Amino acid sequence: MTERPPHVVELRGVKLDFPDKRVLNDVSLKVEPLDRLVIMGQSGSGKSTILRLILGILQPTEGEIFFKQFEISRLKRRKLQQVRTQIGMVYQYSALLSSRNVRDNVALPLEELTRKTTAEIEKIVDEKLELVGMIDSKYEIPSELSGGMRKRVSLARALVLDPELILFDEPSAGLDPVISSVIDELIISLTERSKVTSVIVTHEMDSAFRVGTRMAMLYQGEVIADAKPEQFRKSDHPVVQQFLSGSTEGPILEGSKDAVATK
Amino acid sequence: MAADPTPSPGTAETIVHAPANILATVGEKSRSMVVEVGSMFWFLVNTITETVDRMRRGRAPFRSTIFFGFTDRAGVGSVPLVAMVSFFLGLTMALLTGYQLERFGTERLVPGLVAIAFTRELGPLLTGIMLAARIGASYTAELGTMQVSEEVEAIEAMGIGPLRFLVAPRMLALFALMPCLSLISSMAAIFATALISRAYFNIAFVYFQDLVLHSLLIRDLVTGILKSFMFGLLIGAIACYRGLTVQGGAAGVGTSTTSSVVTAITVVIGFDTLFNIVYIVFFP
Repeated sequence: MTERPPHVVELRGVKLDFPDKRVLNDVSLKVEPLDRLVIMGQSGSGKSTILRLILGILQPTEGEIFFKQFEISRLKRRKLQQVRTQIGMVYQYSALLSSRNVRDNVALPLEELTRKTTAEIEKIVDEKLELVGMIDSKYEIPSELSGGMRKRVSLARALVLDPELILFDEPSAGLDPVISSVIDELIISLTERSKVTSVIVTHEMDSAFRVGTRMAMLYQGEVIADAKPEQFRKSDHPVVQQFLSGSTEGPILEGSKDAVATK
Repeated sequence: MAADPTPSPGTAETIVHAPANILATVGEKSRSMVVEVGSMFWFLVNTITETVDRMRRGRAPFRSTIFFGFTDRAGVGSVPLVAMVSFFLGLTMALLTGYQLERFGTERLVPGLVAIAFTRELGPLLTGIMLAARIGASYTAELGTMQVSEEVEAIEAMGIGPLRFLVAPRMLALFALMPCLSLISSMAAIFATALISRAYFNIAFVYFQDLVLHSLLIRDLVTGILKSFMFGLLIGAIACYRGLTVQGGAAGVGTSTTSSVVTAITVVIGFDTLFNIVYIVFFP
């Protein structure tokens, strides 16, 4: 048995191979309580994969993943399901159940996983929808909502079981800058008010620096930088510098197919 | 070419390798079929254990409203189609057999013939084929779309077992409703035969009833019902499995839906044949 880590999430030497390529190559990360860790990296660099590993939806090829004292990759199905109730996940495209209205979507974890009465469920749903400012759309179905509204409902659904950890997959992707800021502020206020730790995956710089209390950069399957935002900004790693400046000159595009387009 | 005593290397290679290639393809296909059957079996086992697990913790496996929603769609919604198709098939069968038997003066065998054929064989089989197309396809498309839009993963991420939550009520609805529907199918066909017998072969309704009841055995009915249960389970399992294993976006949903219907119909007919062989060998 490995000793119990004091962190909310810890990845130790995680490797992950897909049939055609290695996605993660020795990733180690620690998330302290009440951290808002932002994981950055290019599209397809395996950022979202890390969230799926934390949830136990994917299994690492090598390495260990801990959520509190639980080693996610070794849990039996029933225990894993119990542990997942302490983690909330907000998907990039919200992943709301399209055939259920907002109320039913948010109420789903409560109805399925707790023994609360309808009145209690109703109260919690209202409270969470109020928190994300979506109470007026309670009986609308997801297809009637805009992208930002769906994301807010998805956040309410993630919060409904009062999780200790929330995972955000590209929270501002596909949203206009104003709504994106609204979502970011919502993340900050919620994590501060509800005392939850969060891991946010994004490749949008503004959003990352607004939200993060720590930042990690993923490049070619490895974490090349992991620091507080101000130190991260000062990093002299050429990849981090190129990523921050958004320049086409630098190591990121070397040998990549995208490089052709910039010539 | 024929005059050439030494065949060119290319030709020799083709001759030698062609059977090997065919063998390799056949081997590959059979291997993937075995893998498929295996994973479908585990899919069924996992669905059952996940559902039983939940019940052991003293909770209903799924909400009754959800279950009755599915039974309504799969069962009640299929009654018109099943009844109509069986009625027409019953009419045709009674007419065709009746005209042939009339030549030998044995048209009073028609009621028994159609009744036995439908209760034991055609009722469950026809219902199976119709439900594979009507309900199986909708299950696959629905679950496939949910899979593609990450809804299934989101359900899993919440800590809800997707097999218990999504698959179990659908499968149970088909399992429970299939025998009822095949009974309706048999009744519709027998009713059609009664009409034809009265109109063309001068068999009065009372006499018709007598003929049917005398020729039908309890075991015909039981066989039909047993088979129906199995067909329901198979169609439900295949449809849900295909739905949850969709890959590749909208096109993937289409391919899986087609494959679900084709597999379900083939498996239903195949299982029926196997069942009949086993039944006849062991219970002659």
